[in-house]
Amino acid sequence: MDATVAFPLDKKSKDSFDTAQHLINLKNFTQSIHCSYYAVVQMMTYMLAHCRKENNPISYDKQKEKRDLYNSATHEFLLKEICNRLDNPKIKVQFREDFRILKSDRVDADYSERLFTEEEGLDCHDAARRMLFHLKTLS
Amino acid sequence: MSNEEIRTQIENCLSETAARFKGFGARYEYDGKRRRFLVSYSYAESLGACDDFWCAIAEMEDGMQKRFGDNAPLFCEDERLFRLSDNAIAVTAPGSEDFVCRQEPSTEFTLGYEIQTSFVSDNTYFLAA
Repeated sequence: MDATVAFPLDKKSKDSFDTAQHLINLKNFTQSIHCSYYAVVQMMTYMLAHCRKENNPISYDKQKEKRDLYNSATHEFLLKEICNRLDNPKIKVQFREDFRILKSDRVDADYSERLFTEEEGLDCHDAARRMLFHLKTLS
Repeated sequence: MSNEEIRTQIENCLSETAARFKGFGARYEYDGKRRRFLVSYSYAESLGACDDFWCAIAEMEDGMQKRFGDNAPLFCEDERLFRLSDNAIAVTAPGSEDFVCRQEPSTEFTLGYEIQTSFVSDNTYFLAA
């Protein structure tokens, strides 16, 4: 039996986003941040490989090669490539800002003693929702 | 790098941007919770449709990110993503408009599929003072 089952990244992203909402419902606001953030990262990775031809998609293997050049800033690589493919200059700026704040909050949620409030958990989920909306315009 | 170095760089970048684009202004302060500087900027309506302006903002933010990494300041427009206190330091150019209040959260972003769970809240909330 083949133990390797392919599960598309866009589906993983949806699962992550839904899981974040479940965690918020359970009042696990701090834990929800991680899922909100990775919903976005997963969709960014997926869209970079599956965007319209004129947007120069980058396969998963090529993404890995390019990411390795960024050492510890691999998500900045994703951000740069995605923003290069968004049309509107204002949206590019807003996407960056949403992403960097969500990323900062994710690091705090995972590695620091900071506890997140309901408002903060919902803010992060909303930021993820906005970014997922813009990512879908790349297909 | 020290907070003083980051603060100096923030002031330099914001002042340059304010000198270059009439109607641009910003406020910033150090946030103890996030352990980073937060910068909220505002701009005249005429700048909103100017691609050069947005490219300059992107360049400024990317430059900060490249230089300071995980300690880089976080940016947003009109306190869209965070609130600043009354003690935040303002950087403006002569003739800039006053800073506007935080924008209401947008409800226009939908994902095209339903989330089949109950919500803790309807995503409306009151900002902490």
